Amino acid sequence: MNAVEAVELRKRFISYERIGLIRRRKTIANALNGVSLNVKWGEVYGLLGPNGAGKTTTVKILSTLLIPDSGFARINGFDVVKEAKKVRGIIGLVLYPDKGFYSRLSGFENLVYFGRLYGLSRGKAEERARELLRLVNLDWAANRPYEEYSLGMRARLSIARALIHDPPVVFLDEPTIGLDPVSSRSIRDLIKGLKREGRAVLLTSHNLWEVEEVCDRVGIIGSGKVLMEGSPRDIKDRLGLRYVIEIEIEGDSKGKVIRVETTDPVAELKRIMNEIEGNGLRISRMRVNEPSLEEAYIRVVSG
Amino acid sequence: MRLRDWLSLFWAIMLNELRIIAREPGGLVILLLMPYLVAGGMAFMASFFTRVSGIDFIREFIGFEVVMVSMIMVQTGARFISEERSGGRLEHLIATPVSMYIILFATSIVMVIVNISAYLVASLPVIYGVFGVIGLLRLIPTLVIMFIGLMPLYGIGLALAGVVVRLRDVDALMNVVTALLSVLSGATYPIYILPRWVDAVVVALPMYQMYQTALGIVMGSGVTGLIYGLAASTVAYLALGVFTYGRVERGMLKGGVK
Ligand SMILES: Nc1ncnc2c1ncn2[C@@H]1O[C@H](COP(=O)(O)OP(=O)(O)O)[C@@H](O)[C@H]1O
Ligand SMILES: [Mg+2]
Repeated sequence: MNAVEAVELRKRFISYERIGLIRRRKTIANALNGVSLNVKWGEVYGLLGPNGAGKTTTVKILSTLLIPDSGFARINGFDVVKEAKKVRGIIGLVLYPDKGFYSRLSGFENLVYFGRLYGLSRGKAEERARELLRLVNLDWAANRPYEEYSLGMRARLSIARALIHDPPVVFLDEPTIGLDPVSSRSIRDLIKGLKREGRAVLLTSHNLWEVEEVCDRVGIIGSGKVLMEGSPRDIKDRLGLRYVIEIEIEGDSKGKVIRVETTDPVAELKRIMNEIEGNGLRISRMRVNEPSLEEAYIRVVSG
Repeated sequence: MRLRDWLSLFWAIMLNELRIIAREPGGLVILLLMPYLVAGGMAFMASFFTRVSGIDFIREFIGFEVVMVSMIMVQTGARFISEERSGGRLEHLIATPVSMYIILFATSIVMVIVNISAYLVASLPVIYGVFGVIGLLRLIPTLVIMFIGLMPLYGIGLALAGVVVRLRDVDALMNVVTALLSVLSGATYPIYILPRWVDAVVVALPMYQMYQTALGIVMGSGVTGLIYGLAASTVAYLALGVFTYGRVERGMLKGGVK
């Protein structure tokens, strides 16, 4: 049985916008138009897509916080609508990495409280909170109030909360959004740890480069549909994403620049370096440009 | 889950709420001093026209106590929901296996206890000053009345919490509710000055029932049939609250927490 199984999820939001004093305009957003995906045990699945693609909506449906208009989803075989309570007990959730805790309470108190809500005894919750604060490298700030935490610390505390009841399935909605490179790296390391422990992880992001190393599989979501699915490598190939390597050779009066497009920058760089050194030349300047994901998304979304 | 686990969970939620309140500076002091200021001010103004007796002061004082405590109680559920929502915690609370009813109820009990303690502390000196020791003894059953009276108010609050989930602006709604409550409490002025139908509404609301019953006990004049009204209110308004909130939570899961 798959850890997570979603079949043809559809969700439409109706909202009212005020125009003028009393008149309202009805707006309809078709957030999901038939999302199907599954996540296996011990797998990290990355759901990738631009803003508004339907990532958060999908995560909320899978975590029982939204009821789909049609389609269904099961977590470890439990239906997210009909068996919501059972599902809640076996999933961990990161929704907003920058908020979601009591600001006057310490990181430790916050974790213990949520542990209690997940049914842990006080002793067990405290033990687990200490353990997790160590894991996410926040033990030094355990007794500081949450309001004093930096963004990176908050994101790590969110992950700790998601694990407080040791859930086999974990949903992370853009856990690295707004984080500096060092903090993002520590989050990715945590995610790799979850995978090693055999948990099923669903991760969303709008940035493929950030998550490609931790994901076993990625799905590209656009306009509420999974448009493409495969290993990160496979996806990069199919998206036709090419890095641009620019190398300037030293000593050459004209400032000779080599420009190469490639899908595999590491191998390509090695090859070029060998060639340059073999010819007894030196590099004066070098630049590697990541391909633009937005363009690739647009290509995929518009078919 | 066994009863012991339930109680332990309930206690954990209460403790968490207490901790948060305790770290909120200033709130309790205002709660304690407000009835003195208002009742004192009224008595001062009235003293230009007539001689104000201790009894009149107590009537005003308890009236304002009831109004204050009621307002806080009615707002508790709605404020809780809106604060949890803006803090990004509401969905995380819903995502736990614990029902929101339990969380709301436990946090409200904390507010009840805090409010009743404030009522007690604020009333002690006045009641002692006017009635002496016997007054203090009479204060004890009024605590029970307050405790019961706050339950239907919690029910009304729960229904309001439901409305709040759909609205963006909580404060605007709360201002309206506060104004309505202080008029409809009938606790700060004689209600016979109101039109008959408003009169009927006032009598059907828990504030007035609570006020009259508590006042009767403190004055030593005994309780009236309103105490049955209070019991009926408790059941009716709690049921209304639970029903409304349930519908709203379902609506929230359909439309998304905004
Ligand atoms: N509660 C809501 N009410 C109305 N529209 C919503 C709501 N939640 C999401 N949407 C709309 O649904 C679409 C998908 O949103 P979302 O799932 O948040 O995308 P993502 O997380 O990929 O950025 C967007 O167009 C968004 O405006
Ligand atoms: Mg999102």
